[in-house]
Amino acid sequence: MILSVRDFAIGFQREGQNLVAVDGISFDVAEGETFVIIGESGSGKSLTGMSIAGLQPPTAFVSGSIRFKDREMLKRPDAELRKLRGPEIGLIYQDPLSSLNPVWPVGDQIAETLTAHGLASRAEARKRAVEMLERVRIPDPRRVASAYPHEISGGMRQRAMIAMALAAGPSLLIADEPTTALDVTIKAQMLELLAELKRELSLTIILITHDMGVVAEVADRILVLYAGRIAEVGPADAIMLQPSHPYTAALMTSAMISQTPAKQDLNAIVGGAPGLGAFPAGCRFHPRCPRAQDDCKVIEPPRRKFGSVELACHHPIEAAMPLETARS
Amino acid sequence: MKLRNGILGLALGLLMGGVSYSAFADDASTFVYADAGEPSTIDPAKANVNWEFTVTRNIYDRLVDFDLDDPSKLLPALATEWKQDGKVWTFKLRDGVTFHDGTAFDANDVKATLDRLLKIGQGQSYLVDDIASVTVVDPKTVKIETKAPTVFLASNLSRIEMLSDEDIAKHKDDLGQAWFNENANGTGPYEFVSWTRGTQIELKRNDKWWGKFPEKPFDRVLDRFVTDGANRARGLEGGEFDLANFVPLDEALRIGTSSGFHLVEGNNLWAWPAIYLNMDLAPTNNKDFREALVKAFDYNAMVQSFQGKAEVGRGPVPSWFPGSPEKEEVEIKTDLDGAKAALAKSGLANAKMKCSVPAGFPEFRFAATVLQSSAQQLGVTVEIEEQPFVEAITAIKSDRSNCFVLGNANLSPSDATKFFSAHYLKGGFYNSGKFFDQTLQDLVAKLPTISDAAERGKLLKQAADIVVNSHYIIWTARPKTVVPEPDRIGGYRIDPAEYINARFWEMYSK
Amino acid sequence: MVIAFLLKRLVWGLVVLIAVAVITFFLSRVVPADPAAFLAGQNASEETVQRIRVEHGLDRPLPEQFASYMIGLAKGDLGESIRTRRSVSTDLKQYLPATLELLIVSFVLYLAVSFSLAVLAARRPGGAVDGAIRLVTMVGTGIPVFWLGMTLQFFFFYKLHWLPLGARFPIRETAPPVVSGFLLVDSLLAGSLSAFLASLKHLTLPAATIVVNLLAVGTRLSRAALIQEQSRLYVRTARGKGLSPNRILFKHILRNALSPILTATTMQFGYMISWVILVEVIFDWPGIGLYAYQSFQVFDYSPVIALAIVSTAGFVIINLVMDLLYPVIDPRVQSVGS
Repeated sequence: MILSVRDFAIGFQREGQNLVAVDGISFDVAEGETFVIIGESGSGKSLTGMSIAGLQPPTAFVSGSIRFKDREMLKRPDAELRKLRGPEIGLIYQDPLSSLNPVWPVGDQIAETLTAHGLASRAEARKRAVEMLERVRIPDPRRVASAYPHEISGGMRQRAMIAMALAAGPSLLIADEPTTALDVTIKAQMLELLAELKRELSLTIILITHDMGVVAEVADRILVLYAGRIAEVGPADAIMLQPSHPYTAALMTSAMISQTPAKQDLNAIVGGAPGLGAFPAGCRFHPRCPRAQDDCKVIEPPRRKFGSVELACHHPIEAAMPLETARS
Repeated sequence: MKLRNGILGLALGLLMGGVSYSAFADDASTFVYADAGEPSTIDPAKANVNWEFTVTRNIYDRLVDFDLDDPSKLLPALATEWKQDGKVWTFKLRDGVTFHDGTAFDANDVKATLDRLLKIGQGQSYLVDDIASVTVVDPKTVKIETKAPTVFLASNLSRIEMLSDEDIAKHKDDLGQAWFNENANGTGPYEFVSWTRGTQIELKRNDKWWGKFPEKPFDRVLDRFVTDGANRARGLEGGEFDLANFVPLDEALRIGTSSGFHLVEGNNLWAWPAIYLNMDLAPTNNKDFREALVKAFDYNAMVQSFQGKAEVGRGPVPSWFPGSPEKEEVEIKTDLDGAKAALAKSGLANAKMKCSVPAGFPEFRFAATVLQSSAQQLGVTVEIEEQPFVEAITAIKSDRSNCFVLGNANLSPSDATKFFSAHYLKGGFYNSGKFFDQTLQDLVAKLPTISDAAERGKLLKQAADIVVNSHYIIWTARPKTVVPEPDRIGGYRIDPAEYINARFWEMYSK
Repeated sequence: MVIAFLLKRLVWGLVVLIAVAVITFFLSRVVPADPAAFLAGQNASEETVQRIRVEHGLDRPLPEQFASYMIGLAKGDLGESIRTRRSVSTDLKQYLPATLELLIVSFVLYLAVSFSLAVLAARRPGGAVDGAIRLVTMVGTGIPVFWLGMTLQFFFFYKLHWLPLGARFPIRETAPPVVSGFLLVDSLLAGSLSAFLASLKHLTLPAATIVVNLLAVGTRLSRAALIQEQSRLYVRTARGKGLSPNRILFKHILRNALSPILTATTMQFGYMISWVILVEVIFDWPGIGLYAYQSFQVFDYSPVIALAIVSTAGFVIINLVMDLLYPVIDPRVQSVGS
């Protein structure tokens, strides 16, 4: 296991109250796999992703354990975490325009990943930056290297972000909603690129998304997060084809219904996801769950094995139906 | 960092090889005088404020000098002897006097200087504007003829600095106005060295001077321009300055009585707040109304504001002035009943008036405030407007204001008529309230022609009475001047007929 | 493009300057004062005063005086000072370097101090350090300039004897020969490190007075800019690259915060120009502030108008320089002209 998360919880203090955003989750990521964390906004998926790299907000309190390559990441001094970010863990984000420094040429920003860690001289780093741009399939990498972020297209920017995240040769790439702002064609290209890079560089990828369409294309394993709790975790095929958790099923359905991977796709589920501090008792999904019964309202479902997946549901969809049936 | 230091050092080394400059070391022979302002000119024909006189008085000499303790007693200077014969005065000049540039001083210099002064007509020229002609008899003798006989000519010449006729001839196009504005070549105890605009004028001692320096005189004098009074006080106290003028009274008293300092006290012309009342504008054009104001005024408050170091005047000529009639004058004091009676007579109860005060003089402002509260007791309202000097005097002259506050000045050590000409005679520039009295005009014209001192005294009293009885002026108080002098130096004396000033040639270090 | 822009701005600047000249000319004449009286002096006769009025053209009707002033101005003639009896340009040449030296040193010091404090404060907004800095700078700004200046003099000159009372150079010593008019530069040119240090000592209190007075606004603006930039996504990216907080601050945040900070400080430079008059009077600093103060006192028209024009010109130039700098600082600002 390259990464193993145990009883990880993170929360914030607000007006004297402890608001727990992620409430004791555990999962493992194996070397070389593409692990997808899916959830609505507010589910805690990004917080989890950032915490893996030690980038949780400084005001947050955390508990549990996150072990990356047998190193405990939580409560590790920032100076040591910094040495890992870049050479060991790379990060990319949605909205590459804002995520790139607007006043630096793209190439210099890529090169900085190397120079800041003392991995290359300034001149060498520049050369490597151009190589990285080439590697992420950017035509005319030299021109792009000297361009400012606002001077290149959205797709190019995300490629440049990837080049920057991978420049120092990390083994783990955490991609937080990397395709959200992109249009459908570019999105497909980007996912393809990620898959290729993964093969070429033998990367482990943790992909954080709310977009089921993305999941289908790349995921090896999937973790479904709802309101700071794990709903379901397991192999992608199992979850995609036979969702056991009503929430997952709803996600799948809405992904099928909505033609465009726009933001509303999850809102297709009745109601909205609960906000931080407004998590209901019992199963947190029960107010929106079509299968909810009285026990769901009071008893928190324990996590248990269910076929090839682990899930937390009192009344899972037992008769695993083919997807076609579920659709009709 | 090391590299940068090295480069700086190298650059400095190179520069030091090329330029020889060293800051003058501090020594006891430099005297630093903190002056309240920067001269507008150092031309003796135009100088008219004391920070200009600081420079002109020390660089140039005058024909005669006078005893500071008894201004009626004249002393020889560039002239060694003089006599009056009706309208003609004859002066015998001192031998062997040279200007700082080495040229000799003679009668031609006197003639050229006086001719130029009268042509320009500014500065102190009013002191000698009764001169009709100047004649060179021989290089050591000069004859001056006046329009009418005047006993005061020699005394008034004790203020007139002598220039070199060569300098005047060299720059005759504009009467030398441009050149003399910022250059100086005199026969006096100190030579002009440089003028750093905004900062200082530097002088050095003229060791060829005909006069006598005390032991341990100062070889170098820096006349610093220090605008802020608190700074002059603090710098004097902290030892940056050796002497300062116009130190605020409370600071002067405090510093002068602290250890390492002593106080020099004396009479002088600076800042006697006199309130001029407009003779042409209602309600001050009413004599009874003016009398009411004069009688209501709280003179005690004024004296107290000078911490007791002041007297209340009784007329236009101060008591210490040679021949002053003040001792025989009636004391002027607050008389509220008299004031009320006068006001009733004027029929101007509840009148309103406006008073213009030149800004920047706390004593003047205070005098106006005292007038305001005194008048209020009569039911008269005084509105005070503080304005820059020229604006304030323009306001009363153009009848937009009823009153104006100013000190009366006269640089002549013994000619009392000069108190009158600018302030009480027709056309006098500071006669801001436009006082006019034909009898006074005639008296003032006649006074200098009378050689008998007792007779002159009688006429002077008449003249003074005319002004007093007109109630044109409220003489609020005449403060004494106190100057703190550090114990390490000595020789400072206050010139009674001058603004606060320093005779550098009398100063020495102990 | 840039040339067209420059041309447009220069024309606009010229219009502003002419407007300032016209307004100050008439404002100064509205006041019923008579500078000729000052020139003539105590006890001068009315004839003398009238003669001086004629000599200086003060007797002519206002429109005529205005026309001749503007014609002179067009030729670069700023007129004559009645007080110093020299041409105003000669005076300005003399006094301007002292003021510029003070302004430049103050401005650099101001940027450095306000930025350092802002960095400290922005590290933990709302924290103890932030609060302390806010309090101290607010107090500094709340104190009137003259009082602040005099308090500094009282402690550092009078009580501690560390720093001089005022002026630009030790009184009893000879200043280095004037080359640039900047004493710091001239001292070095004359090869005297001691003169350089002496000049620096004289600069300390006046500069500190200006800086302390502006600090609260400067720190607050810089702090706000820094906090805003800190929350930007590129900062997260930089952290994700494993950069140290200092590197993020100086290499990333600062560059981005620079344009809002510069915009704010440009305005502050305007304030500085107005404070300089007071500060120069307090510290006997022989610059244009003291010159202006003394000219005001005797209604010396020409220097007053000239100083209004010069300080406006200074402000116009600074704004122009800033506009030209923006694209350099921020590549997103493509061309200032468009």
